[in-house]
Amino acid sequence: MTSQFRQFLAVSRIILASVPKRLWVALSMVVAIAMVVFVLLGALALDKGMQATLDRAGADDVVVILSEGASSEASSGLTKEQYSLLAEAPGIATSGNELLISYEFVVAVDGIKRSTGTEVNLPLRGIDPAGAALRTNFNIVEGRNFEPGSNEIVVGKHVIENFDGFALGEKTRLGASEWEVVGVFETGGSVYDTEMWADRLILQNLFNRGDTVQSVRAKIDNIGSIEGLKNFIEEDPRLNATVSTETEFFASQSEAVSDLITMIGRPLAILMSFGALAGAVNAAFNSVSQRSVEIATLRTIGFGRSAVFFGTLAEIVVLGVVGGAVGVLFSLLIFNGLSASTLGSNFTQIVFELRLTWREALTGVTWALALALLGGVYPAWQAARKPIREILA
Amino acid sequence: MHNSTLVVRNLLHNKLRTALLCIAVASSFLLFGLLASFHFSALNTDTSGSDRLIVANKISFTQPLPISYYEQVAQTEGVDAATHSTWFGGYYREPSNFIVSFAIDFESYFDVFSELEIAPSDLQKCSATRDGIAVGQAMADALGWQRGDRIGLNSAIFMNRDGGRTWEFEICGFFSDTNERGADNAVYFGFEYLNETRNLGVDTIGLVTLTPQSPDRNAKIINAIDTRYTNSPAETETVTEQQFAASFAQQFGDLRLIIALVVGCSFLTSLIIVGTTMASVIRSRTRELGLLKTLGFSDSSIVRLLLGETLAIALIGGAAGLFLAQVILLLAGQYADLGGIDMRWQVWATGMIFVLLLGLVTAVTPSITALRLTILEALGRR
Repeated sequence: MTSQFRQFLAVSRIILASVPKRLWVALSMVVAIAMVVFVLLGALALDKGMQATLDRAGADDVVVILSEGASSEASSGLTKEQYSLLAEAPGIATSGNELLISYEFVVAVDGIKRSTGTEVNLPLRGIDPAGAALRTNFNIVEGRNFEPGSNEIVVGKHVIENFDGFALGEKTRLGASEWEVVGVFETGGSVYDTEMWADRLILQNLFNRGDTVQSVRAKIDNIGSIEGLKNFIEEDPRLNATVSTETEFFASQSEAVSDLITMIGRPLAILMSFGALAGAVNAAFNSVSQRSVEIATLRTIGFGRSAVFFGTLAEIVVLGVVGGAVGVLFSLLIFNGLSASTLGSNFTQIVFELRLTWREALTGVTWALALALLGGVYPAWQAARKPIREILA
Repeated sequence: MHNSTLVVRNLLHNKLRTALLCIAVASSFLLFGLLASFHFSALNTDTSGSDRLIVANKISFTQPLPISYYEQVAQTEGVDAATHSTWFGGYYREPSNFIVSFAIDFESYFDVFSELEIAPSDLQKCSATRDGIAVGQAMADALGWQRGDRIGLNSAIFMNRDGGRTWEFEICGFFSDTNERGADNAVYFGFEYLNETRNLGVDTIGLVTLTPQSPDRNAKIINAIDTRYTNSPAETETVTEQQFAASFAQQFGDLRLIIALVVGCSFLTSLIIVGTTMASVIRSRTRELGLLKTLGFSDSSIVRLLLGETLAIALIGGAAGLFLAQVILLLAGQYADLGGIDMRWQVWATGMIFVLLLGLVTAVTPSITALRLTILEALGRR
């Protein structure tokens, strides 16, 4: 084994040293594989970033109540006669004498996306005084919270960073009244950071919502209380609603997005892989045909078939890994931390950061390695199998 | 004639390599076919040729306008015709079966959207029937809906007076989109029916769309409408249909950029692979080229040979890729509603242009190598 291994090392060294002679073909394979990895990691980074943004928003001791059958807030609606029943529900936590419950709805208002200068929908959420405290990691980073009953808005960090029209201190006209931005909040990079909040009652009036809301959020006194709440809602026929923890709510939303991204991203990478595979096979054949005399000579002086096989394969694998590494590097440089925004489930913008971890990097390199092995095996086998006399004749 | 025999022989000389090149090209054109179809359909913002203006609520186009604005806008000086529409946010049975659906004014809608064609008798029936609905041809075909069918659509936005979300409709007519931009993948029903039955937003509409008497008057009309409603509870923002569509598509944000990036990467990859492979093929054929030159083949006929080879690869691979994309979209269309994504002739045409470009560009370096080669060098080199 040691002798065979030494043979393999020797052949690999000879072959790798001659790569510069086939520079263009080798380079084209590296580039092709790097592109595949780049696209694959792009999809994974989108997916990961979106998931992180949605997952971060969820808490286990906060429940979200939507109307029966609604999958998002936009498609949910609860009347006052329905939601006011919830104030009597068991298991809802209190702070002092106040129930930690917030009746909410979201409307879209125009903001200007700074990077493109175009108008986009931003979510303006009407919340009750308890609402802010229901968000994990909520804190005001600048200014102050809005006063209940006033025309004041607080805006999320991502709104300030990515969109124009709602800077701190700025006055903005919504319908007949003027609103002032009095504070900036953050919730640790969650989806709430792309929202603006104002007093629910004032907003209902301004946007002619009557007394309907879309969702109810409430803190429960312990995680087990959700069962009691579920029973309470099921037993009251007037309450045509479903309850889930906030974590579950966002998980179901991120599942849909993430399905979409992986459903598109992976097939794209697979399709592009065919091109890269062709590049790998071509590079391998090119190497074999250029070195045919060399291979025959090696065989004549006693090198084994397996040394030739693995040596040839080694070249392609090394090139593949280089391609993979280049792809990963470029993805890290370009995608990691890139802020992107798209439409979320409320037909309003969600800002999220693309994200790559070593796990995705590993997936990329594995993919590259698999392509190289797949592309290199047949040419390497051909090289090892070729009769010596045929080449030297 | 002889040339084409040689091209075929050359291609068949190394079948595996030719097949691989074709696969590389096919995979990127398959990608192109799918993504371009998506681009032309779902994110289609091409409203060129329209000089319509759209009046929306200034807060956001998702906010409603009072119904009274419709009459007032219609009477603004310079306005030829106006109509209004309200987004219903409909879906059929499952929320995932999303249906483009609007409550409209049948009397005026098809005059303003003149590219939509509906039989006068159908239009008459739709507006005379309280719960009448007009279905776009593409949607009727996809869902197998027939005249007279009763269908229930759910709204993701409105609730009716009983707290339910389902509205019943009778299919009274069909319309088609003569511009073939997919506008027939939609349904329209009477505004009154929605207005009388919903629990909220009564007497409000979504958008007013108008045609000016002449496009030169647009600036005046926009100014007249928007200043009229300044400081009112519902201020307006009037823009051209092009601007409106563009800003709508912008909402999807970075998605379009990503699509362009992927197609670009994939093209570049196949360009590089086919290019370098052809170059290495030529190098391995040095002796052969020397022989051809000795036999008296002119430079131009040698270039033609090479070009024939690269074009053949591009054409075979490209056509296969585009064809496959079409098949995939057709098959996928049988199982799921693709929201009107299909391969239009524009996709085929653009694709074929790229095929030719690929064939031409990849022949450049090999041709230069071949032309520089002298007979002496070619036959002497080993």
